[in-house]
Amino acid sequence: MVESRIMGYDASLSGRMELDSDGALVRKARDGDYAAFEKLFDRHRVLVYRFAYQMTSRRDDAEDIVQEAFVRAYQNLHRYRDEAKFTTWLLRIVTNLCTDQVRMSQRRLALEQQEAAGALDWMTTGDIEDPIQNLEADRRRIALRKALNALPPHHKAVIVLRDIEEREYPDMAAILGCTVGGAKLRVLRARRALKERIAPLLGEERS
Amino acid sequence: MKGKVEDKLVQLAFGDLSPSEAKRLEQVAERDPEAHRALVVYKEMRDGLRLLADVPEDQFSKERLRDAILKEGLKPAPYRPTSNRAWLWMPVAACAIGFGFVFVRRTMVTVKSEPQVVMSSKSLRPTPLVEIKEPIRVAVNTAPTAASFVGPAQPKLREVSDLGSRHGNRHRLEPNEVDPAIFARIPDGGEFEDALGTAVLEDDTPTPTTAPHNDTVTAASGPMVMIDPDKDASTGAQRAREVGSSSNVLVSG
Repeated sequence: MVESRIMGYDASLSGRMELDSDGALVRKARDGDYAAFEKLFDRHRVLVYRFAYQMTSRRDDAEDIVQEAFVRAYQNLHRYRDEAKFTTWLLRIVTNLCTDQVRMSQRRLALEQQEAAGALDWMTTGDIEDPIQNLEADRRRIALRKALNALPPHHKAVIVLRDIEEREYPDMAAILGCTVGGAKLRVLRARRALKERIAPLLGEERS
Repeated sequence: MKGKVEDKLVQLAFGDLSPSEAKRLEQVAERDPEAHRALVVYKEMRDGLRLLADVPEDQFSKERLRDAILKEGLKPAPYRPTSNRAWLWMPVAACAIGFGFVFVRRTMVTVKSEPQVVMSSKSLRPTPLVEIKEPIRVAVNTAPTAASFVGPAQPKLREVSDLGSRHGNRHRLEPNEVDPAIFARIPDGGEFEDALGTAVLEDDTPTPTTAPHNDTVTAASGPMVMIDPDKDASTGAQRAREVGSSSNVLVSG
C-alpha cells in the first residue's frame, strides 16, 4: 500500500518534472536561450511529424508543416500558458496548419490522390510472412488511406488523433479546443463518415 | 438501422463501451444481420487504422529549423495586446448611420413639402389636360356647400360620376360634400361646365397628359397655395389659401 503510494508519488513527480521541464525550457527559450528551444524541438519533433504525415500523407508536406509549426511556436512562445501541456499547445498549432494544408491540397484532388498512392509505396513490404496476406493487408491499407484522405480535414484530424495516434479524449479536447463530450461526439461522427467511404472500397476489394 | 444503434456499434468496435454493455450489444448484433455487417466493417476499419500508424522516417534537421527561424526573425514576435475596446466602434458606427438616415429623410420630406404658388387666374388660358371623348353623365347637387368652401356665393356642386368610377381609387361623394380632388373654387355651377374642359382628375398615379403646355400642375405633388382672382373686400388684396396637395387641385380658367 505504502509502496504503491510511493510509486504513484514517484510517477506523478516524474510526470510533473517532465512537465516542468517543458515549461522550464519554454521559459529559457522566451529569455532568448535558443538551445532550450532546440531541446524542445528534439523532444517533440517526432510527435509533430507523425501527426502531420498522417494528415498530409506526404513526407515533404509533413516536413514543411513541422518547420512551420516550430517557427510559429518560437514566435508565439510568449502566448504559451503553463497550465496547458506544451505538447497540447504544439499540437493545436499543428492541427490548424494541417487543416489549412489539407484544404488547399484537396482543391487539387485528382493529382493529390495519385501522389498519395505513390507515397504509400514504401508500405508494400509488410511484416506478415505470407505474401498473399501481405497483399491483402496492403490493399486494405491503401483503401483506408484513400478513404481517410477523402474525409474533410476536421474529421480527418480527429480520426488521426484518436484512432491512429491513440490520444486520450481529454487531451484531444484540449487540442481541439472543445469539451471531452464534444471530442467524443466528433470522433463518433468522423468514424461514421469514414465508414461511409470505406464500405464501398472494402466491398470492391472483396468482390 | 437506427443511428443510435450504429453509434453504439461504433463504440463497441473501437472499445469505448463498458464490458457489460459490449456483451449485450454483441448479442444484439448476432441477431441482426445488418448490425453484424456494420460491426464487421467498423472492426476492419479499426484494425486498418492501427496499421496506418507506421510512418516513414523524417529527414528534418535542426539546421533547417534554425535557418527557417533566422529567416522569419530569431527574436520572438513582440507581444501585441489585442484591444478589448475594439467593439466600441460598432455602436458608434450604428449611431452615425442612424443619424445620417434620419437627417437625409428629413431633408427629403422638407424639400417635398415646400408649398408652391400657382396662379389660378381666369385670365390664364385653359389647357385641356385630359381628353374625354366618352359622354359624361353629370349629377347636379344644388344643396348648400360645406364651410370649407371659399367664395361669396353658394355654389352648385356637381359630381362627375363616370369619372369617379373610372378612377377606381376615388370614393363616391356624399351629397353636400365638397370633393377637394376636383374643386378648388368654382363661383357658380354655370361655370363648372366650362371648367370641366380643364379638369385635372388624378388619383394616386399621375394622369398622363397629351397637352404640350401642361408642365406645372401634374408634376406637383406637394402642398400649394391657391391665389383667387377676386379681391378681398376688407383688405383689398387677392385671397390665398393653401391646399394639401397640388395633385388634388382642379385648375379652372
